[in-house]
This record gives sequence, C-alpha cells and structure tokens, in this order.
Amino acid sequence: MTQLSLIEVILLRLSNWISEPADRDWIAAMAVETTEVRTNRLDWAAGCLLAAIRTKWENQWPRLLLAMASPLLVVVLNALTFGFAATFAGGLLRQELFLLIVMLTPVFCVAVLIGFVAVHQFPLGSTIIAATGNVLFPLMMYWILTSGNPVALLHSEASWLSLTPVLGITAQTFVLASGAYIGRRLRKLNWTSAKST
Amino acid sequence: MKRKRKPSRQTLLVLSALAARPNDWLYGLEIAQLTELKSGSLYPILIRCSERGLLESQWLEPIVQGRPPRHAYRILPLGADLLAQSHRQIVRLPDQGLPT
Repeated sequence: MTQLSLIEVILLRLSNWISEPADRDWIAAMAVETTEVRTNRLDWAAGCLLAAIRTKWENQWPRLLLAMASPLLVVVLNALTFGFAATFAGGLLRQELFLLIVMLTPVFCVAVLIGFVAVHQFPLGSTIIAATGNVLFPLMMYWILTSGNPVALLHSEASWLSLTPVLGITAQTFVLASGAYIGRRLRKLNWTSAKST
Repeated sequence: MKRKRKPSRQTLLVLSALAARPNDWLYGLEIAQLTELKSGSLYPILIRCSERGLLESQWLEPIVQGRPPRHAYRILPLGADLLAQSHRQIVRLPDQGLPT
C-alpha cells in the first residue's frame, strides 16, 4: 500500500462527489483498492470515476438527460408557445421591445423553473447547466444566428445592434442559471436539515 | 430506475471468477486480475450484481495491521443459477482459461 498521488486523490474525490449517497460505500471500496494497485494506478483511479459516472447514469438517466437538454428545452418551449420572437434573443434581434416586455414573465418563469427542477432534483444539474447553458448553448445559438459565421459580429463594419442576440442569449442563460442557483441553495438547505435531524 | 436485462458477457465473466472459488471472498482487484476487466467496467457490474442478489459483499478486516478494511465479494446461489442458465455462452477467464 502506497500514498496516492494528487491526481488520484482528485479523481477519487470527484467519484465520491458524483455518486449518490447510497453508492458511497462502493466508492470507498474502490478507493481502498486503488491503494492496493501496484501498476497503472492512475488508470484504476480514472476507472473509479468512470464507474461512478456509469452508475449515476444507470440510476438517474432521465433526470440527467433533462438537465442536459434543459437549455434547449427552454428555447423550444418558448418558441412553440409564443413564437421565436418571444425569446429574449428573438425579441432583441427583431428590436421589438414591447413584445419582449409582454412575454418576459412567462419566458422567465419557464427558464427559472427548468433550471430549478434540474438542479434541485439532480446533484450534477448545476454543472451540466453551467456547461450547456454557458458554453454549448450560446455557441450553438451564435452559430445559428450568424449563419455559421460568428466572426461577423466582430467585423469593423458590423453594427453594435448586431450584438443584441448575444446579449439576449446571455440574458436567457442568466435566467436559467438563476433558477439553478435557487434550486441548488434549497437542495443544500434540505440536505443540511436532513443531516442535522 | 432499475432496468431488467440479460446479463452481459462481462457480467458472466465476473460471476465465473467468483464461482471458481465459491467459498472465498475475493477483492475487487483480484476479480479485475482474473477477468482482465478495468475498474470502470468492473465496479458497475459488481454494484448491479449486488443489487440483484447475485453476489454478496462485506468489508473484511485487514490481515496486516495499519491497513484499511477491504471490500470483498462472494457469489450467491442466485448468481450461480444465473451462470448455469447462461451455460450456452462461452465464458472463459482470460488468465486461467477456465470454462464454466
């Protein structure tokens, strides 16, 4: 038995963080075995992380899928219900401020609700929302709105108004993240009160 | 959400390794060496098998003092039955070449 390296410790802690409380015993078992491995120990530790993710996916895949798809779901629901113009991005793009204000409340509520449910129900929700809402989703929307040429927004002759879709998407992501934040806070509060009792 | 499905070849491989020594408690590392499975594949199988009552697990006190207890596994009759039912599938342990 030898000391674990920093990377191995990080991998094992990450596995522990990802797993459900009911599976923590198994993660502990993997961690102990890691100290017994003589060769390719990093592989074994990485495998523990993979095992934690796979187990989580097997038990929680519907919620994980919902969390991953939630930013897109917001857009689809908004577009289906109120039309594309009702989304922040759409309203800003078309410079229809009145429409934007009128539709603000339902759009806000849907986004907050989805963010809230994903994170409140699913421990990894905030991470998934952060990744999809802040990186993948805006990139995809920029790509669509600029017809596959995001650099066009930075062109010297481009109008400042062309940046409004960017602001709209950022605002929509922020709203989603607000719901996620509330969900996360409530989840932590529930967890703390359950632990104290 | 639990799903019922036919045991995979890897699951049968793990059960074969345990069935080869039905009275012994095997550590995860030993099973990994016997089956040549990586930890990322092995542990989800062990968890699933344990939940389905195919094997039992327990923490064993260390032989050498100062070491932490280790999780060990042993096949249960249900696991042995499942293995017997799946006898048509060729399951061999890579190291020993033992057919089951």
